[in-house]
Amino acid sequence: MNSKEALFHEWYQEHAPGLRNYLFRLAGASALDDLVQETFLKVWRAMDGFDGRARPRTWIYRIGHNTAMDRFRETWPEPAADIESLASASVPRPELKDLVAKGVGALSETLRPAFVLHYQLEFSVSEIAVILGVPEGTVKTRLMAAREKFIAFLGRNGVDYEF
Amino acid sequence: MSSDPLTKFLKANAAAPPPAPADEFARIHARITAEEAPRPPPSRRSRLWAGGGLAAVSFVLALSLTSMQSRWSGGSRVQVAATPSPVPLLDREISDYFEETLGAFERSDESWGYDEEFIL
Repeated sequence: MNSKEALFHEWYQEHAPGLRNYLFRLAGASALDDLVQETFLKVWRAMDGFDGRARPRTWIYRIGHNTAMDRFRETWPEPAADIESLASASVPRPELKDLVAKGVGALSETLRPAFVLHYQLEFSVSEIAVILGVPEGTVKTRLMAAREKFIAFLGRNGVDYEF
Repeated sequence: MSSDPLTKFLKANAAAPPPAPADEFARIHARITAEEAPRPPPSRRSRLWAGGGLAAVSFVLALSLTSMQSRWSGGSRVQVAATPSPVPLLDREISDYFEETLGAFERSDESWGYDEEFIL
């Protein structure tokens, strides 16, 4: 195994589980295996040009995010409905995990990546800006909007936490 | 570890993604290997076919170029025969112009001459 292969294997070991987690929350389970493989294939192709300005984790997540966006540009798998329209009356009381998944999945495709990266995977605002390719101010605005919508969704479904 | 209560809540209540296939890295590696493997050189038969194809395409191209060239030159000959050259027309116009102008000058000279005579 040469040094490139060794580094690639190390990156895979270190970041594949987190990336899988992110892509699952972003795009569901249907194309998950494909997306992870496609992302690491692109990482391999591009890693000679990786200049180290961003951390490898940020760079790999950016590739993964763009891969998912390209795949679902035409037909985004979720959300099935806008989060505002998921009123408690129409949603049977599910388990809390299902409710959380539904609430995250119902965020728009603009808000969901920032929300998942920050609140579920604990990326900083500046890292999210690099991954999504938007200014930090935009990330903050999206985080605030997503947080508000998610908490309101939980509230409508009888989950009142002090966040 | 974040101290944000929303993060804690989400971590505690988020469903885990389905597990990765056990051979996921091997699959990625196989795709990389396939992508980077040097392509086998073309066989003698395929090289012969490619050479023959190239020769056929060149022949057809040369044939069509020759026929197009003869059509172009035939067309220009017809055009030359059908359209009168602009040069005689121009000459005629120029000569008409001079004829008119010089005639007018001559006429005016005559009148000046007459005037001079009259003045003197």
